[in-house]
Amino acid sequence: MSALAIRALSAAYGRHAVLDRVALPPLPPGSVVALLGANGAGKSTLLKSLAGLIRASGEVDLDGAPLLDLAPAARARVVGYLPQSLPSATSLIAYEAVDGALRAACPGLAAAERDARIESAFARLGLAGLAFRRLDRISGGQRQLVALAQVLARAPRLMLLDEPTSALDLRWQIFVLEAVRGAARRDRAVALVAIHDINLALRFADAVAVLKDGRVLAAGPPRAAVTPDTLAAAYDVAARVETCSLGLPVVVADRALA
Amino acid sequence: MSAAAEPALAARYARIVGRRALLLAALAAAAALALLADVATGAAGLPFDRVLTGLFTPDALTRIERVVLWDIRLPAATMALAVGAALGLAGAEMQTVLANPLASPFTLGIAHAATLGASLAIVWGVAVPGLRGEWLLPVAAFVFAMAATLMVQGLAMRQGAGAQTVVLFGVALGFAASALVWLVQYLASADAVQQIVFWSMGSLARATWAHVGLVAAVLAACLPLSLRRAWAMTALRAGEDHARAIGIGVEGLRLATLTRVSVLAAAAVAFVGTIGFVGLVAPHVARMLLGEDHRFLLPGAALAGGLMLSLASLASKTLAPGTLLPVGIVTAIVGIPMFLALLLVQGRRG
Repeated sequence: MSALAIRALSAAYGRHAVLDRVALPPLPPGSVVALLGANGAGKSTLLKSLAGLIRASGEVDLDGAPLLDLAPAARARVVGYLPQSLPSATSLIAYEAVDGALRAACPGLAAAERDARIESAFARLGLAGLAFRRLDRISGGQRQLVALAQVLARAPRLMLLDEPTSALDLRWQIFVLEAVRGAARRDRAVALVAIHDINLALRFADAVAVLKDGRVLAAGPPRAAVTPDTLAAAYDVAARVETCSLGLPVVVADRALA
Repeated sequence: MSAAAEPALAARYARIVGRRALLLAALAAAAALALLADVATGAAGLPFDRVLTGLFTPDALTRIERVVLWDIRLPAATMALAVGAALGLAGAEMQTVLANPLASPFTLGIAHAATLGASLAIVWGVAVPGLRGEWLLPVAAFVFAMAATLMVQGLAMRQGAGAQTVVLFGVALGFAASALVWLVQYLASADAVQQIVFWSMGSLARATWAHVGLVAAVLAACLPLSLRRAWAMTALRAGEDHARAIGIGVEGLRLATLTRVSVLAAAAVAFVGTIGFVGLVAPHVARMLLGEDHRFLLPGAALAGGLMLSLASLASKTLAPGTLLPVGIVTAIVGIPMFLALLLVQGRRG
């Protein structure tokens, strides 16, 4: 059975339609899906409408139950959304940020379970050393990791991550995507990850969906979905898909199309 | 390290929480001591042991001593504590829901509107049927403060209740209320102008037990409601987007909190006049001591506010022997250097 089925998802800002009956192939439990597309293609809107932050209509099932009808509090228990913006640099302590989010989103959780989940989230992201630092005394990338720890600690059925690696250096980009994939496999959950780095996406995703103007241009296994043609249509670039020495696909963009 | 291992982070966090609880208790003890010192100080020269005796067995005092202690000093001293606590709590909640370290009960124009209400009552509101003299000014101040808040909220709601919108409307309304106060002063008699100025400097001397009871009741009603949303407020400190992501209705939380806080602040300034500084600074003092966890920050801000105003009340009686300085002035003169010192210490440590 598929864990997430997006059959037709539409969303609009006022009268301006941003998502137009978006559909993806059924996604099995444990899968990581990369959302690709140019700026303004609808990646963030797709994530926000699944997270319930934008009014959306259509048919979306998570673990066999309709997702879009869920009230915000109920949705926060099954969906973990990571916003594109970094957490504010306040004197909030990292541990407190994660603890507070967990308590606010999952009020019924027993204290011991809560402590164990926070511990595990910090460990999986290599954050234990920063747990008691203030958010205004750590770097932007580290704040992004704290926000991701908030998501992982909640062990959501569906992770919606909006550019989780945007503030991270090379090592941490790989580390974070490994952690996300690990969490998806472990909890048999689904992760939708909007990302700009196509090569990183090709490496870590089980499936790729390429968006343009609020529609799905191509969706499927990375090799099948990311082709020179879809890249040209999605990003207006001339690009090649090469194979690296390890046999993995690598996208090389040569020039912008007029 | 794995999930199955002893949660070492939780143990460390528990120690931090324990330390905060201790600090909160220390803050409460300091506020109690300040209250006692405030009660024991005054022009009438009541010896300290007579004060202590009188607190527990009022009948042991002479009639005059009893009047001094129970009708003059205690109402003023408990009023200082209650008003300080109300302003401190109001300021802390405003700073969080508006994500603005400069927010205070002044931000929404509450204090300015209260002054306008009091001014109008002083100049023209000589006789409102059924309203005795001691209630006329507070009621006028409160009504105007609440009207201002509702206006700001109404306007902000139409614009989506963003934090910046609320602040902008509030500041604009504050200026408008100030201008109207000047207009009233311009038109009023010299005697009325003097009364307005004196009212706006803040005074605890006019406090009665009924006033104290009212402010305390409002505070007692608001604090549990504030604490019920403490985790949502803590989560909000990580940013609006992140709070929304965990299912918190940020706009609803903001409007509900602002309404509650406005009642609190309006009740406080209605009885004692404009004492703005406490509402701005007490939350910062509490935050430096206790951090951002609102389970501690909110009661801490209330205690810090009460402590500050108690000390200010004490100072207003002792700085210039024989005169009672307006507490609003003293709060700023004594409080600002203390606050700057705290900021400098904090900066050096960080």
